Amino acid sequence: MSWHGWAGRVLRVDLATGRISTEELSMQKARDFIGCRGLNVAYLYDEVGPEVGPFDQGNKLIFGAGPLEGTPIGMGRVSVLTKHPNRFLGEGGAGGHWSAELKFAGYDLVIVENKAERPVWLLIVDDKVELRDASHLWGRDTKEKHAIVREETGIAGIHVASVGMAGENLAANAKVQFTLDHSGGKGCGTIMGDKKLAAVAVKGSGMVSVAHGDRFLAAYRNFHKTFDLNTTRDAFVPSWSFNSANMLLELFNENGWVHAHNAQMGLFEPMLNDVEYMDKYVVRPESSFCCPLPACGRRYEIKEGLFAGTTGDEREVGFAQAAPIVGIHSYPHVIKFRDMCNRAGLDEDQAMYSIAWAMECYERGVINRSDTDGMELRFGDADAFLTMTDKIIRREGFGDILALGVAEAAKRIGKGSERFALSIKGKELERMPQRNGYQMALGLAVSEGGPDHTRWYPPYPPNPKTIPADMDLPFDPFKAFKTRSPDDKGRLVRWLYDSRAIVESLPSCVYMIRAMLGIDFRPWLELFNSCTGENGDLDDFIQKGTRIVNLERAYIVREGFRRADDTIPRRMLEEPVKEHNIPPIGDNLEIMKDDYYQVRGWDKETAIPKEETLLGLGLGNVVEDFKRRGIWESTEEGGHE
Amino acid sequence: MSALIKIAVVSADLCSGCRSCETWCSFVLAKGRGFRPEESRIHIETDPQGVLNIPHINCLEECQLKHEGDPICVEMCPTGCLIYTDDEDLESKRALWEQARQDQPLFRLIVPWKYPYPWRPLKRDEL
Repeated sequence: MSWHGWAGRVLRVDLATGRISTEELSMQKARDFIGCRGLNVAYLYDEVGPEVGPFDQGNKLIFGAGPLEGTPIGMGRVSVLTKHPNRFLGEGGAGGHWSAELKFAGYDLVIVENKAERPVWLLIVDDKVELRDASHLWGRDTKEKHAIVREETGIAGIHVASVGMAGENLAANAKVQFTLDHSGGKGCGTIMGDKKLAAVAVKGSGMVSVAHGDRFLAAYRNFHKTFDLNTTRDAFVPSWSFNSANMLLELFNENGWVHAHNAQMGLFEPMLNDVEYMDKYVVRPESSFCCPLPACGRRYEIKEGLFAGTTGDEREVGFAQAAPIVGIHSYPHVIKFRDMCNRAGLDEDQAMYSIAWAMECYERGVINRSDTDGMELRFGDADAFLTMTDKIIRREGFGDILALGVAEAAKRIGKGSERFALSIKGKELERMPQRNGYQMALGLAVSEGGPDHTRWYPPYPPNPKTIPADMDLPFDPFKAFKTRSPDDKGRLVRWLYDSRAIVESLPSCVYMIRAMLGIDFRPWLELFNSCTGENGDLDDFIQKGTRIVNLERAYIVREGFRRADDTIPRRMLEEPVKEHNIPPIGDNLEIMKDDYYQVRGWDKETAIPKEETLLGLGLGNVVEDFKRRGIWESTEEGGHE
Repeated sequence: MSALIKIAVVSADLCSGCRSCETWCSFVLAKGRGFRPEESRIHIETDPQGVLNIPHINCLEECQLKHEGDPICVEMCPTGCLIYTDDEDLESKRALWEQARQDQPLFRLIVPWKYPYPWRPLKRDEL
């Protein structure tokens, strides 16, 4: 069988026995679930059932590349998946070059099974795959791990996925760090640490085959125009190209979207700004594999003063957005914070929202110095913020509690502090506005992977008037794009989820879903078909996305997640943003959820996909599985927070 | 006297390490059958700390896939780090970029002739 796009091979690594094997990728699974995020969940559903606990031997860690990875559309996107410590889908994407190298080495997926007794690392160089002792890597930070692997192998262009101390110490949402400042997979770092897998290094020299080169080139050039600063029709492209999420602070501030002081306030003054950041700290461009944006990543460097010598690459995280959450006004501190998190593989959101929660608790007198190891923990104290981040990484004192994640920490502390814990399904929020961006509130609530904007991005749709008349959209953009109204959000969010599942499975970067590429999926279909040689139509293509999301839902349903788990923090439901007169979202969330489950073909009471819905998507195996387990008869009500 | 037209690097400081040039070059060499950067005539070397990306060009023939006169590596370079020009023009472009990045921090990331700043203002109905 000849494969185009897909490499056609799956690599399996059993850490307990050291056995390494390759098998042919299932063509049916590839057609049904594309690759990357989609294929990962197809394998996880079949191989890691509800009888397996997250920290059991049987939990698996899957790294997925997709059919378009290794072509310039793939942008180095990798999806990492495991059963999250809180049992939902621990899934996350990251950029860089790692995933492209995996394809050049000739693999679509790497499935890591069982646990090693002592720390090991995995080396993949084309057909040469071996597990090596990692006692010298364990306890080192991710940048040190990368440097040691590079020196040990003598391969300059090797790319490394590794865990840092946060993963090794099993912090709740630890991430996997990819060369050098890319990261993703909240909770995957935790499981990787539990499996004692220090790093996975990969270098490939093979070819990613393209079925129809001329068509692919034409489709790519068409795609590329969207991101050319001279021709773009998207106002975000230029500013995003240079300032990334930093440029959003002003917008967030004007609209009351910032989560200042643990989202108690929607305004943060005085603020850090992107111009100051660019001027003082940015030294040169830095990008993922074949990213068409000139500088979506930027190399930063603190040249003098506090933390001088700190360097790294900045992308999505949005330094300026991070600062308001804990109320600090110092760029050197947020840059240092990012560097600490990347070295430790600690999720920035976990650290920020956990510490912000602790600051709020401290200021309200819920906790005091006897809880915080004698520290004053107040908003705006940048040094305390960094000290506590370090304690989380090392799991020292109060940091040991915060390392559990903010939801679990609040349970331990109690005394009403749960109210200030901003997390969903056991994963901390991202900096997304939920009180007035109604589709964002719904998008975050119903996510199978906890708060993850990439699953329903973007919140800034194009002007409905600019949408070509020949496009047959499954929602009414004039209604659905109204941000503070529950109208037509079910159909919109369903469309966003399904279409983004496709982009994350091809894969490509979610920031490429700009301008009309976020609405019109014909260009994506042509890229997919011309690369893989498939010839499905648009309906078939979109249905692949629907199938992926339904399988992800089936996965968390099987783990016991129900309608009650699809929610947003009480602060967003019940408290207004006083500075901007924004009312709380209140009952509108439940109204939108009703709407969403209905358009999905899921039961409204339970959020379980109906039998006919699953059968219509060709998910007969899930129907069998649900019947065998009595899922449709169960009276479980969820409650996984 | 100007030297032969060639592919040149304005400055390694402008290379984002994206490897678009490598990847597209290999597509041309494979006659459109796929992407294999290993075989490319351009390689980006990244130093261990990720501080600098250095493009190495080993191209001796005319590119088979030109767009508006530029070979595909130059066409696809997102920052304008690679140019297709002669020695004399290369020197003047380097000087132009040096000045531009002193004047406006944005030009630490791109070259001014590829993306004249400010960009075309978007019309209201395009937003």
